Amino acid sequence: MVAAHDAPLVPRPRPEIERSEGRMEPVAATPVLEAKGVSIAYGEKVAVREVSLQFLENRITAIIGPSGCGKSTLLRAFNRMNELIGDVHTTGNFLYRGEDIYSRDVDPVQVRRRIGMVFQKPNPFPRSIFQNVAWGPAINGLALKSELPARVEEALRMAALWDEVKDRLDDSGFSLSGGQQQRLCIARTLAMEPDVILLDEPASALDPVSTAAIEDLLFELKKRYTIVIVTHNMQQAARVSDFTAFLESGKLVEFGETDQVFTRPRQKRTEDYVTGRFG
Amino acid sequence: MNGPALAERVTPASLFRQSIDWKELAVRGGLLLCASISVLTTIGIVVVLATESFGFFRHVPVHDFLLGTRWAPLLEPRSFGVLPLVSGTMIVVVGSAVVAVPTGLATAIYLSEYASPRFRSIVKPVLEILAGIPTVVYGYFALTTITPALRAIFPATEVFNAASAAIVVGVMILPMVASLCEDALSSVPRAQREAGFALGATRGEVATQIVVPAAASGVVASFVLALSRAIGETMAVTLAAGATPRFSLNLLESIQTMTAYIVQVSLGDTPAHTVEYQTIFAVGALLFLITLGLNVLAHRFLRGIHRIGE
Repeated sequence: MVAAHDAPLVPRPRPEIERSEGRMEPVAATPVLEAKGVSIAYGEKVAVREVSLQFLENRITAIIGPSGCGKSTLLRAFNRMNELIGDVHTTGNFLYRGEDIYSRDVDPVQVRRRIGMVFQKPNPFPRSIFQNVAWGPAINGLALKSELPARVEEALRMAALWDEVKDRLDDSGFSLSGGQQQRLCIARTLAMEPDVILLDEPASALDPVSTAAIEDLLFELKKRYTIVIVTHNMQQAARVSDFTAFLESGKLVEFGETDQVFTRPRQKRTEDYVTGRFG
Repeated sequence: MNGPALAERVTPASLFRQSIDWKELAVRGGLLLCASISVLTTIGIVVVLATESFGFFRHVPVHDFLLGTRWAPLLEPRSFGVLPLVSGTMIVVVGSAVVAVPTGLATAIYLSEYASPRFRSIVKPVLEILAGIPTVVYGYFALTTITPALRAIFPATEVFNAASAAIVVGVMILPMVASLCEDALSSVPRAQREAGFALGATRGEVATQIVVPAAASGVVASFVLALSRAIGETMAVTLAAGATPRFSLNLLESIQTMTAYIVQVSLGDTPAHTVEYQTIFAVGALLFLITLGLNVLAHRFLRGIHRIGE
């Protein structure tokens, strides 16, 4: 972690990926989520233009770019959160394991059960720690009432929060620190046993120690999940991700393996951005 | 830059010396005067209620007043049991709550969680117009519309009856409940709803299990405020329920509420400073204590409203 701070452009080695028989190649692993020529507009204002990219199974893909480049909008399109705001117009295809999630007969509620999301600011419910995690599985009928405690424990363990909260599960979610709250929100998402986890700048409201805890957690989680993380922190993208997409003014400038994007960018704009010349 | 040196121009004395600013004092005094009007009025009302009630209770024992079940201060044999008036008021309050609380909350949930911004922008002002209709109009509405409808269903219904009053007061406070609840629901942070949706919740689950509990204190406060308005409501209940103090729960009979009684005596020719006349202060004081209690309760709930976030 420290080394990465010193040399932000060189991602730290990820041996577990290197070992996995050439699955680093985009073509070899299965794309779980895919955007094909997607554009998103709020009313008249176009936020995302003609973007195509794919997220591979058990990989972490980072979406980076300056503020207002459309990265959060793009991320939120993958579990149909944008339409909750109102006047949002989405075109192009979003494919989840080959199925268009914007097709007429698709229920967005079902999409969100498979594709979970963690938000920029920790947003626990004003309920107990236990209920925060148990609510999702409970309303979706994913677990019997008697199975909930085990499921909550497993989710909290995966989110590396169990040891800190196991004796106070009945305390309010708000009694936790900011970093713990964010891990609670991750646990809440994990309890749904989703397939994909979308994270929208999950560490931007946290201190460096909590940020490091979240990043370490992502390495663990990608063994089981496909992860997409939006961040404006380039060092973070370099540290945690296998693939990086660079967005500017709603357009995809460059998309490739994180090593390549940060050390041998193909586009001049990417180089300028990752070397801190703007943004 | 040819003036006197800085140290000479700005001495501590000239910089910090206090002078009396008459204009500032006048503004301050005027504002204080305006602010004290409402405070002084409140104190005045409390004093009048207390002294006149004290006079009343020198003639009538407190427990006879509070626990007596016959109210006949103007007819021989006289009796000063306030319970028939209290029961009349409670029938109207409970009945109007049954009408207004579920409907108002449902309206608020629809407006805040389901309705399009366009629809909301039409309905919200309509609610506010409804809240501005004079209560005497509601009273006429009860007499000419609700009561005939009730009599068609229950032929035993009297011309003046408690049910009609309860329903019309419910309709009257409905916009207030809906509007205040809607404010409470829409003040729940969007992040809470998004968290719910991202966990695969439906709109209904987010509305009833996330938004309403998160806004619970504001929602309950709106109920309490609306109910204290129902307790104080006078004109509509007088027109709809009549003036027959009765300690009964029969909704189809005429009753009298505390407020309706006060009107009856205030407008009648009861001589001042008699016990009959002082009854209205005793009843008024009791009414004041009940609504005060409810308002204190409402503020308790409102204080707890900003729990999410920081």
